[in-house]
Amino acid sequence: MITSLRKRHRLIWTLWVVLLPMGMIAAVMVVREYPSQELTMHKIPEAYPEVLKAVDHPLGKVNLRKDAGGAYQLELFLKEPISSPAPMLYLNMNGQEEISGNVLVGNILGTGLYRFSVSKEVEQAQGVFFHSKIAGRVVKSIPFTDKPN
Amino acid sequence: MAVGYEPVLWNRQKKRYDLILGGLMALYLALFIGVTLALYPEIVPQTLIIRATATLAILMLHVILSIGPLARLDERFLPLLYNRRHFGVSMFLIAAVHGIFSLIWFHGFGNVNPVYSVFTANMQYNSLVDFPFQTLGFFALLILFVMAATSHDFWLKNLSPRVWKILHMGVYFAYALVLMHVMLGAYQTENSPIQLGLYVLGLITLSGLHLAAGFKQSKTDNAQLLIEQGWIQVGPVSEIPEDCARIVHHGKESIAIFKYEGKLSAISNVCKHQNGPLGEGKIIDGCITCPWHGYQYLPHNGTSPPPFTEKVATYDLKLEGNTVYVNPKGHPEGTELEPLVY
Repeated sequence: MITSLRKRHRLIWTLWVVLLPMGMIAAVMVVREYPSQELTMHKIPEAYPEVLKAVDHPLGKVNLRKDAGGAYQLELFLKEPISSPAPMLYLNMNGQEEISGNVLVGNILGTGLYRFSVSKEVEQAQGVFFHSKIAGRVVKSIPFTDKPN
Repeated sequence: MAVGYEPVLWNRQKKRYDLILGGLMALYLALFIGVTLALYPEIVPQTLIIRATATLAILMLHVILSIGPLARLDERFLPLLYNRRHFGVSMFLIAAVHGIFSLIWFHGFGNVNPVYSVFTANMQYNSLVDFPFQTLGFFALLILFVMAATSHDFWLKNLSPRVWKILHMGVYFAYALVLMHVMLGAYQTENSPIQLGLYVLGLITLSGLHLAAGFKQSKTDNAQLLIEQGWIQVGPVSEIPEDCARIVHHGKESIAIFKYEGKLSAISNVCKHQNGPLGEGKIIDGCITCPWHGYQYLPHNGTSPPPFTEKVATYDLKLEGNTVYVNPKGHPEGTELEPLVY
């Protein structure tokens, strides 16, 4: 190469040493972080060890559990879908399948396993029922007819 | 060297060079395809071809860009330089397969011209993350095409070595375009640290080699010369190796002073073929032989031996004691001068 081309060569590579890393860093910085898929259900808490009551029903299984510290847990394994979307689960405390006077436990989104922390009064519950806000009525229920284990 | 033009002036070394090159390319493609099929058996042939040729072309581009500075830094790499044009054309062909397959696969099934589609399918030119990176690859391929098409002594002669060299320096821009093509394209979807690490390693290696070679040369270019009454002091005769040269740079002149058979001759350091450094060559069979492509010149008149017609300038020499001096005002190309006997 002749002198003028050698100068041009040095200039180009000096520019590349500055510009290309800048371009590469910019390209790395703009890489899209695609969000990981969000679960539609919360993480299910661990089951409490002691089973106070177990109910088997065509809709699913209900277990009343307790841990060593005296905390209570209502476990529901819903096998059949509830016809109304997103019903609320209630403890039936007074034998009447209506919202008033009974205890709201949580929201049901579909079939599967649910575990809810509940208070001691669950021991007096006569069953659970599913109330649909959209339908404006109780859509399903599971009475606690089985005897405690 | 050739008197006339032929598509390829084959010789044993070129055949060997091309055979090894072709073998290595085939081996790479076979390995890439084999490993990819083993890891991703569901891959479609089009994607496999696009990726195999893309990675091979990038690898070849890095090797090609390394050859020049390596040969400047260490003459053992000169044999790689000898047939670099075949390497370059091969790389362009591989890159062209990548480009054409990508053009057909990603733009060939719409209702507009595929080339038009490259520039208009994604118009987010003001966005970095969504930049239409394929356009960068398109322009890189265009530069490589121009280089491949003019990679022949016909163009070298007709464009002049200087213009030809400037044109072929376009490969540096092609490299930059290719690097950003992959960083804004393939890297955005498969951003593995290995991929990034390889690009960074490639950039560090190439820029390091080119700058090292460039600044090594600039030291020679800018060396302080002792000029006495228009004559440049070259140094003691004993410091010039037998059948080799000492090079001096003065302004735009670059002069090679050769020592051979008890004589000294000075000719231009710039080869007529590709502006190679004649002073880094040797005298073989009585002729100064360019280290790049073997072009030869007679030391006393700077002309190529018949039937060849290349000519370079010659320079006056004088000896004072044991010290050699050269007059930087050159004679017309091919001027015969009596060698200086020492």
